[in-house]
Amino acid sequence: MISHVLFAATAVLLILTYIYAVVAGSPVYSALSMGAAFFLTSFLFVLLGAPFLAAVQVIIYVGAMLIMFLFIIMMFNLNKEPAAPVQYKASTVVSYLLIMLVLVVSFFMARGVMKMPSGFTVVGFGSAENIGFNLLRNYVLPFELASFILLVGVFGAITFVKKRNRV
Amino acid sequence: MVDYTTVLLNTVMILVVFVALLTTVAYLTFAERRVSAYMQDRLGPNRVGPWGLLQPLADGLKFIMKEDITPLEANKFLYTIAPMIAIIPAMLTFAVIPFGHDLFLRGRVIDLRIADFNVGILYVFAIASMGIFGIIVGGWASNNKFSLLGGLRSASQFISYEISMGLAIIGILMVFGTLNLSNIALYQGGLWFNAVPKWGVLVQPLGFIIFLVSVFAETNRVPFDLPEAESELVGGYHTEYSSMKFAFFFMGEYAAMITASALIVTLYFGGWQVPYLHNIGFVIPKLGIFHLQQWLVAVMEVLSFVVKTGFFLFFFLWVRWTLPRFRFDQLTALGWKVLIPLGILNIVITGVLIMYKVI
Repeated sequence: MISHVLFAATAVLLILTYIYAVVAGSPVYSALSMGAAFFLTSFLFVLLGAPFLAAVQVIIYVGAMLIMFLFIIMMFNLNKEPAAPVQYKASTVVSYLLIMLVLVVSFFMARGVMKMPSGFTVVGFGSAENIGFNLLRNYVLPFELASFILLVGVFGAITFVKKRNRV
Repeated sequence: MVDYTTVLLNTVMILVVFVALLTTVAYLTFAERRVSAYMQDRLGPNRVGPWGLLQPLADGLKFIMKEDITPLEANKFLYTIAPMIAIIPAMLTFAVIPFGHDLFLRGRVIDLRIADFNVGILYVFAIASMGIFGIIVGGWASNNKFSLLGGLRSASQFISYEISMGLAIIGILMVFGTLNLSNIALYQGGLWFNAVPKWGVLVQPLGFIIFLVSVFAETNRVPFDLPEAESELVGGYHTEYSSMKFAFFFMGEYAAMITASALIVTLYFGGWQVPYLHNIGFVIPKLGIFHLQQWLVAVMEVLSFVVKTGFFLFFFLWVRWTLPRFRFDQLTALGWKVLIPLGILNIVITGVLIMYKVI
């Protein structure tokens, strides 16, 4: 019961923080709101009994990516530009309607989740051992291929930044 | 059925640890001034109480009485919330550090740690990375060039050194095969070649050095205190802060230092372990067993943890008052070109040694 209440509260806060990340006037507020959302997502992992994923979520998304975002926002001082006045074009209205639709659909989906018994995870689900076994035994090929994609990304970044001697 | 005795015991333990942490923070500021004075052939603060021991109280009172200034152009909300973001994670990380093994009291086993968390070490990393937001946001919200530069330096420094720190502990995790800090401390009581305690620093000397250097950078201490370099940036990210808001940044930095020392001790110096000491007394191979009372063993273990952590706190101060500050390009080069490759090398060496069953 308590886990249901916690889940509902987290879910509501999560949706609110993500919406604020989109509509906030200042980029810094957007980034910080997104940080709060990442943190709440990790709390969802905790509720699911996967503390390893929760910790990794915070370390990677909040501890590395978001700091990077903030660094760039502050570096270029984006906040100094006057925020464009909000104009209610057709696209704005459509996107707000879509958000409403997502909220309604997720509400009905959440009702289904609420009916499930609270202890629906198996023992050891999401533990560091389990994830390690799955990644390095059952799914070792996709895992290594993903690391290659990241490597290509690193090469791409270096090529962009490198000074070109001859063009 | 809720076991009220356990709840009560845990509450008491949390209170004791919290008060001990705050007291250590207060006396660490005092120790810093006395140690620096000693190293520079001065006396330091010695007027308030015997040997100046009441100085932290006077300092605290002074901070509360000072005028709390918010700059006109600052972002009020973020400016106020930043010191809180800085101090709360610094206090939270200590929860998973084991400061003793077990204490048998009236037929009840008390674990001497607040939370026995399965992914303890990742928890420390995750929560510690929240603390940096206080510095970045505070530096930005002050709307001051020096503060902003301090915050930016802090961000890039934190990201660079978090990688080498993570690489350094992977070696330890490979040797002990667990993410649980209590178990890491426990396994270091084992003997290597049936003679030497298997402390992290002996099985991972290179990892220890990388970790130590990275920790100095992560806690913004000299020689890596560029976010608050007073000769370049006035006060860095806390230039505009005064009164208790400044005190919160200050306390956050010192609390992070205590957690860092405790983490070094837990990962590399056996945590609460005393060499050859077990629950029944000293067990020395080929020499026999010297029996001791269990409560005495527990007290000795907690004392061992406190003494080791105290040594590393002194080490932080020692380094601060004897080494000059790095330049920022030197700091980044050290992080990316020296420590990260060394960290990867350390993982490879550890893997080979584990394969040949040396460690």
